[in-house]
This record gives sequence, C-alpha cells and structure tokens, in this order.
Amino acid sequence: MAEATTTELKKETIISTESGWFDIDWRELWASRELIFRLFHRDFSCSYKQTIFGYTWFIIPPVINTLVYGFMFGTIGKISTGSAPKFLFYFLSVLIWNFFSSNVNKTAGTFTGNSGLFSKVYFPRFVVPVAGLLSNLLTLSIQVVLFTLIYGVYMWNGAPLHPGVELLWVPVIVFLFGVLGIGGGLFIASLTTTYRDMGMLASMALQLLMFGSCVLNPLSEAPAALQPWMALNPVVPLMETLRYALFGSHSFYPGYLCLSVVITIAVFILGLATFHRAERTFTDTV
Amino acid sequence: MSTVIHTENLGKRYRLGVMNSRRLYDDVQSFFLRLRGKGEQTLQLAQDGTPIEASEKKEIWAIRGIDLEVKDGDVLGVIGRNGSGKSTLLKVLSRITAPTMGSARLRGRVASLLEVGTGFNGELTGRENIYLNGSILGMTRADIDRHYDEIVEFSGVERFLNTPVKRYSSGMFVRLAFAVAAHLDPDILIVDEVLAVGDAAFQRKCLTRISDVARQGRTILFVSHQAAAVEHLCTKGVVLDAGRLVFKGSQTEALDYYVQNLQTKKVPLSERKDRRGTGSLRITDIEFRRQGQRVESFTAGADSEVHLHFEQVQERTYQNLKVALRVGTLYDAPVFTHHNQLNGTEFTTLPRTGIFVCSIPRLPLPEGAYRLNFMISANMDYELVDAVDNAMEFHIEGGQFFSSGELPDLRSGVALIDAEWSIA
Repeated sequence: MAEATTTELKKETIISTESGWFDIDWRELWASRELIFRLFHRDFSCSYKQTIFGYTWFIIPPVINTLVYGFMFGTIGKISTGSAPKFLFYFLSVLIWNFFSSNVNKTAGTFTGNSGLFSKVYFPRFVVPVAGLLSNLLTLSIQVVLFTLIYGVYMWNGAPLHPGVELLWVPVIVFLFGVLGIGGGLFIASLTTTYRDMGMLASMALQLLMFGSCVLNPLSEAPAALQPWMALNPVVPLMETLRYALFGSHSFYPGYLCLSVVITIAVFILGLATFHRAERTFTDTV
Repeated sequence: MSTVIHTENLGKRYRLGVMNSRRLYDDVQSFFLRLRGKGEQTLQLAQDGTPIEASEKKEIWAIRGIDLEVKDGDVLGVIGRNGSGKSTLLKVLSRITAPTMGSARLRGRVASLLEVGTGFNGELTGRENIYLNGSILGMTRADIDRHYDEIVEFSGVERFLNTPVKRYSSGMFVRLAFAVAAHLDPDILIVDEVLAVGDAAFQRKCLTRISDVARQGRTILFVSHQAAAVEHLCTKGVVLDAGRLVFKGSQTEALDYYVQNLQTKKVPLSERKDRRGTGSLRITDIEFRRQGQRVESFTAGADSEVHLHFEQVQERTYQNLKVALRVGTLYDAPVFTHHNQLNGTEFTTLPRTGIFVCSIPRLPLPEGAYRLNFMISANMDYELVDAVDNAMEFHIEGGQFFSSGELPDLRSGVALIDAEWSIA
C-alpha cells in the first residue's frame, strides 16, 4: 500500500501532439540548473585550454579591436566621440556589441551545434541558451573589470568623466541587451531547423547591423535627416543610454528607449514561442 | 502493479527526402497554393509544375497506432526488424521528438540511454565528465555525489580522473561513460543499442548491470538486435513490424512470433542487399551436402559439408584469405565459428568461380533450428571482402551421434560432446 502511495506522488510525463506556443515548463528548467551550470562550466573551461595566453584571451581581442576601431573611425574617419575619451568610447562599444552578438550567435546555433546531443537525450532545450548567456555574462564581467580600471585611470588624469546616479542605467541596459540578443537568437535558432542558411545569414546581418546601430559612432554624428529613423532601431537607444550613463555626454531619448524596450520584449516573446515550437520536432529535420 | 507507461494510438510520421531539400521557395509556393484553395494534396509540385499525387508523396509512418501498457517492474523487450520503428518508438517515449498523433503517459523519473557517452567532452577531465554526463542524463548533483565512488570504481580509471578524456584509450572512455550511465537511478529506463559498442566482455558487463537494475524492480524498455539478450533479460516482449505493434506477450512468445513470422527472409543469397565488404569476391550460393548428395537439412552425427559457391567480381590476389562460418541459434546465441586458417589451410590462388568446401565430420550439434553467417576477409589489415549475417537458416534433424541413438535437444546444450563414463 505504501508503495502505491509513493507511485501516486511520482512525477508524470505526458507526451502528446498538442503544444501551445507558451506552455513552457519553467519548473523543469529550474530543476535542470545543475545541467546549466555544468554546460556553462564546460564552455568556460574549454575555451582556452592548451593556449599560451589562457584566460587573457578574454581581454586581448577586444583591446585590439578597440585600437583598430579607434584608429579607423576616430583618427582616419575623424568621428567625434564628444567629451568621452576615444579609447573608452570604442572599448565600451566593442564590449557591449561582443556581448550582444555572441548572445545572438550562440543562441542561434543551439540546434545546429547540439544536434548530436539533442538526438540522443532529452533535457529542456532552453538549458543551452541559458548556459550560453551565463558564459557571455562571465566574459563581459571580466572585461568590465578592465574597463573600470581604465575608466579610473582616465578620471585620475582629469578626463571629463562624472559618474553619478546615471550609472544605475548600466545594469538595466546590459540586461536589455541580453534579452534582445537571446530573443533574436532563439528566433533564428527556430528558423535554422528548416533553413540552415539562416545561421549564416544572421551572423552576416549582425555585422551589417553593427554599422547601422551607432555602435562605432554616436547618433549625433549620423546625418541629421536619418537620425529619427535610425533611433527606431532598438539597439540605438540602448547604446546611447549606455553612453549617457557612463560618459554623460551623449543624448538620452526616453521615448525611443521605451520603444526599444517594447521591441526587445516583443522579440524575446517571439523567440521564446518559436523556439518552443521548434524544439519538439527539430531532430526530424536538422 | 500499476501502469507506468501507457500509450494511446501513438504515431510518428516522417516526410522522406522533402525535409533535407526544403527551401524557402517551395514553402512560399505551397503557401500560395493553399491560399488558392488547392489544399494539401497539391502541396508538392513536380519540376514541370504538375501536381504529384498524394500517394506518391514520400511520407512514412515510422510508428502508427501504438497502444502499449507497461506495468511497474516489467522489463519489456522491443523486437523488430531494422526499420520497423523500434528506435522511433524509443525516441518518442524519451521525448527526443514529438509524436504526430496519439499520446503517452510515463509515471516516474525517466532516463533514456540511446548511446553511451552522450555529451562527453574531450577537453574535460574524467571527473568533470562524470558530473557533466551525469547531469545531461538527468542526475542531480546529490545523485552524482552519492554514486561518485561507485562510478569511479566501476569504471576502473581512478588513476586518470584528472586527465582530459581525449587522452583516454577508447576502452577507458567507454568504461567511464558506461559507469556513469550504469548508476542512473530512474524509475523507468529506456535502453537502445547501447550494447552494440565495445568488446564482448564489455557487452556482458552492460548486460549484467542491466539485469541487476531489472532485479531492483525498475521498469525497463529494452531494444536490442540480440535476441539472446532479450530472451535472457526481459520478462515481456512486443514485436513491431512496419511501425505497427503486431504482438504482445511474454518475451519468449514474442521472440517465437518474431522468428516464425518476420525473420525468415526468402531472398536468394545472390540478391541480398545487406552485404558488407568490398565485394571483389562474392558468395553466390550456399549448399549443404552429405555423402556427395545435396540436402536441405543436416543430420546430427553425420559427416557434413557446407559448400560456399564464390565468384570473383574483380580478379585479384588475396593474401591471408580467411573464410569464416559462424553458426548460431535463431536467437543469435553463438554456437561455433570456424575458418580455414584454424587448421592451417591457406587459399592462395583462386579460380574465377569455385567452391569453398567446409567438411565437418560427425556433425556434433543437436536437433534444432540454426542460422549461418559467413565472413570473408583478407590481407594483414583484415580487409572485409564479403559478409552476410543470417545468410541462411537451416535445420539439423535428429540422427545418430551417440551409440545409443539418444539425442539431447537444443535446450540442454548447443553441442554434442563425445565422452566415456566409467567407475574408478
């Protein structure tokens, strides 16, 4: 009798053909947190094994990118960075854009990159993008330490930096970039289950998007007639708000920011729903 | 006993060919067709724009209308030919892919083992992989901590736990991978083809472990091509054929049904498609002879010959040519293997067509049904030339092996051994 009671308490799995867009099993995802941590740990500790510079690879490429962009856009292109020190301006752009684009790319590759694993064992597929987000966050935080140091050095040397309460925007913007990146990535991932070229297309589009999103130049440097249109791009108000928070120099547009938040949430919900639909049968098509 | 797995009208449909070549263009085209009300049957168009008949659409129901009920503690063997839907059923039940129709309910923690070592990462150490693989298979951290020492002991790689597994030998890798899987603690275990990896000793270890788990009263769903394993391990059996569940019963009844109704292939050897090997030489026919006469079945205790007719498709020379026969029971339990080199016979030059003759004096096998496999390999690198599993089935009739004329049957043992008894 006691045995029967324990059986009643056991979790029941129901497999059926019906699936809604939003009946995501969040409890199951929470129960998989150990797996999330393990995958995150795998990504992180495998990244730079057997390399000469090891974990300094988290720092070297963004610094070099920053120097290149600074030279190309700042020195040759003579694009003004306002009152913000040139190095800090481009370093910030590179860090946040890397965070955003690797969220998109990693998430977009969820199905194509794990098809071997997914076709052999079941676990909530959302585990993979979440683990990817964690490892991107860790990368970003290592880089932010360096950014803070350099920021401090500039302040010490009398650069016009006056960090204040606006700094509270920084975590909010990072969060929004994360949500937008993951949302976009989830949507692309669900497309890659039928059209494999979507992954390639997306990473190309991302590169183009970087130039159209005021990542390497402030919005104020864009042609005046285009500015209202460019600000509709959800990335632009996020970038501008981040600069406003850190450098105080660039414009802050609450209206466009609100629109950006709405688009971000919409993209995220779209991504969540399409990914959830795709995960049920993707092993048949990938 | 309560029902732990219950499926109702479960089905899974695949579209063959279409999926891999799917392009946006086709989708847009079918979308507009639907808009114009042409409906599903004209979704696909041939190159010249004419609609393909629905019947020609390459759809296949890998499984269809499966009603299955598995009780707590059952060890259910799923039997069927290749392509009968066994793997699809397991994939649907382990939630790797969703069904196209019907539903299934599973009560309790489910773990599926469709492969050993899923998600192992070469860069990580043995210890890290135990935790990674364990959590992929659904173990919690506490589960893994609790079983950690057992896993390490079972795997026998304790000295290499801090070495990246890419430096492991393949044997060590498989042992560690299976050790993790072996300590899963689910209510329902779904196992497929796992036994196809590793050497014979490892396969035995796997089987022993699975039967241990079965004895603990867990519910197991077991798919294997090794009928012997199913017979030994399972308590219940179901037979799948072309995606349908055609038989339910005890494991021996299911195996009997399978052997009698599904397994006998009457395809002539020369037309068999399931050959392996390079094919530069092929066995075209197999015949049995007794005292120079062609016979349909052998007789226990009689001098017998197996004739393998061969044909060289490409004329070439072979070194170290090895012509091997393996005889097993219908349930695939091996009975004996013999090849020409065992007694030092070398085949050096071959005619274009000819016969390999294997003579067996006083055939020492009891009455029953058997199955014959052959394998021809050559050269020092064991190039596989031609091999067919289940090349044919044959019977051995009762005969005079012992002087008394009495003959033990196949259930008492697979060999007849000459022996003398005395009192000393």
